Amino acid sequence: MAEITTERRPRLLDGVRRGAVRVATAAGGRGGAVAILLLLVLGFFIATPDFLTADNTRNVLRQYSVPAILAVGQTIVIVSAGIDLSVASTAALSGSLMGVAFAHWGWPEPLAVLLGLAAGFAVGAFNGFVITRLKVPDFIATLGTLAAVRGVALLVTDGLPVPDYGRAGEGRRVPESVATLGADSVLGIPLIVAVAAACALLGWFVLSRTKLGRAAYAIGGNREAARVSGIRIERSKFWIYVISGLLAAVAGMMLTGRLASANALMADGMELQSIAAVVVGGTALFGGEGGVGGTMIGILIIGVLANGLSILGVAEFWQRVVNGLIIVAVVALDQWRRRAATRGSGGLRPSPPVDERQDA
Amino acid sequence: MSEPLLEASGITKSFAGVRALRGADFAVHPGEVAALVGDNGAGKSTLVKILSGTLAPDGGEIRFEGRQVAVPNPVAARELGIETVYQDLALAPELDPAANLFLGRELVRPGLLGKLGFLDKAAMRRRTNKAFADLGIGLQDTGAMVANLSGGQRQSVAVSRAATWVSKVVFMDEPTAALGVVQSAHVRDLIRRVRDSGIAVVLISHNMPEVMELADRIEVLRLGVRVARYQAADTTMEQVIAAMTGALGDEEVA
Repeated sequence: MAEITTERRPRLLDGVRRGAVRVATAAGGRGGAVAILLLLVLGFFIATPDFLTADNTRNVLRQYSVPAILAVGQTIVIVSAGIDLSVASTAALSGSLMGVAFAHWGWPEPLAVLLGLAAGFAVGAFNGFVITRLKVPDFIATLGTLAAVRGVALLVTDGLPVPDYGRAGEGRRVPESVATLGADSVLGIPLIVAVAAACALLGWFVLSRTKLGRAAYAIGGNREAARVSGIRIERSKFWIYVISGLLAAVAGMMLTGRLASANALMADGMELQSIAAVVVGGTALFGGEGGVGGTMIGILIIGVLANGLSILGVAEFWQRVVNGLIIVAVVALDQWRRRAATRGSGGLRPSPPVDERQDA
Repeated sequence: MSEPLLEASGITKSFAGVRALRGADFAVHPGEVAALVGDNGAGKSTLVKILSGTLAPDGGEIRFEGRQVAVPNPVAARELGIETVYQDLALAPELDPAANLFLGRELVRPGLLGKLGFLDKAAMRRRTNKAFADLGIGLQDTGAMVANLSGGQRQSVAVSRAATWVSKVVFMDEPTAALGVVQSAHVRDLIRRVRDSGIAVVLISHNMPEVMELADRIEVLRLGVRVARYQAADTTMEQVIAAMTGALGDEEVA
């Protein structure tokens, strides 16, 4: 009998421990972000009747659709252990170029839209080239394009809002399709939200269902494993930055549609918002993990927080302070959860411990 | 004895002036387990990295099936039918075992979707389950991320990946280092089965009893050159260790 108890005890304990870790992991990971979002919604709901109304919900969703689109591309980049600081500038350039081509140069609508997309493609390809061929670190390369692309947008628009009435053709503001998608609603759902959802779905699909997605996780999680497995690291990274650039272009055009105008300084600071959304959503900055689902929760947390605070009449300056601190707090919580999970299950990072367990 | 399947001669490699390999030789034949042993710093890992395409040699010759070949990268090795179980396992932590088994050679959907890189996850999952079953690896939760598996399970994933894809030679760098008693026995069985199917197995191990048990032949590396070769059946552990530590002089072919 004594043998049976000694046999059983560790197994039972092991089972309990594993169960606890699993619950903690789920609650602290994406589940944790969902819990924080629900708490925020509940808190603001109790605090003010103006928060959880159909109008205000639409308002938050519409307002955060553009950063959400940027965050989708950012997620793929960060999963592959990169970072794209240039997304907001790229959005501004794409929107501006499209606007200028349509309103000032009199280009036909499809061509103007195509030019906007091409600008996003070009910036993404340039980032990819500088990072993979010139071997400039991702952070520095995209910091450079962050500034340079903003400059190009200023050059293209002469620093003036588009359309500029002195130069715009008769009745030419922004392309009709872009204005519709950016500002109109169907059955009460703003189309810009549908566009953001479609982008999120696309990003989720790329990450979880394509070779490129697998490559992103492998490169971010264990670059050497990716290399010896024959994954073309440089080529994959190049295309990941192109996708990020293209999504930034879509975001910029949607923003132009929503504002019915473009300017070179729009989307200012949104690159940080997109990075914050990714991190708050549970994707670690060192790559290899996370996903678009978490990022969407992350952007909602950021949006709900800002919206709720301003409904409550918290001064804008204080909102910034609270916003920043919440981001740090959420990530600190996530780090704590991660350490707990690693202690519990013998995580793979930073160094694989020798584990004598026979079978799970 | 048959012609060597893979034969390296006079391989040299220096790192910042330190000569890790000083004209090393090595050979492995089909259907045998050849152990590559040596003290720390003897050059075992460097030699394996060169033969599996992760490191370029400074000099020397590699012959594969009688032809001189270059192995400039791991993919080239793979195309020759060479697989490697790396000491650090080379797994992607946030992907599941099936994704790791197919890492870098994912199955894609037929037609246009496949051209765009759309994965056929169901087929990969099916083939992974079959591979694990064939190799006697019991993984209850094949959907879990590798990061959440035990050290032994991770090693099982790495070993079964190599065993699944190998067609000619498999290098196993310390394949039982992180394993408990039962799983080590499993991997040893697996190595024998792979060998019995006609594949050449190169075993790198510090565990001398394991080497004596598994190996058909033993090649000893010391200070970057091969100092001895033995038929495992005709030698003793003491002899092998003597060669490793330099108690023996010139190359001795048993």
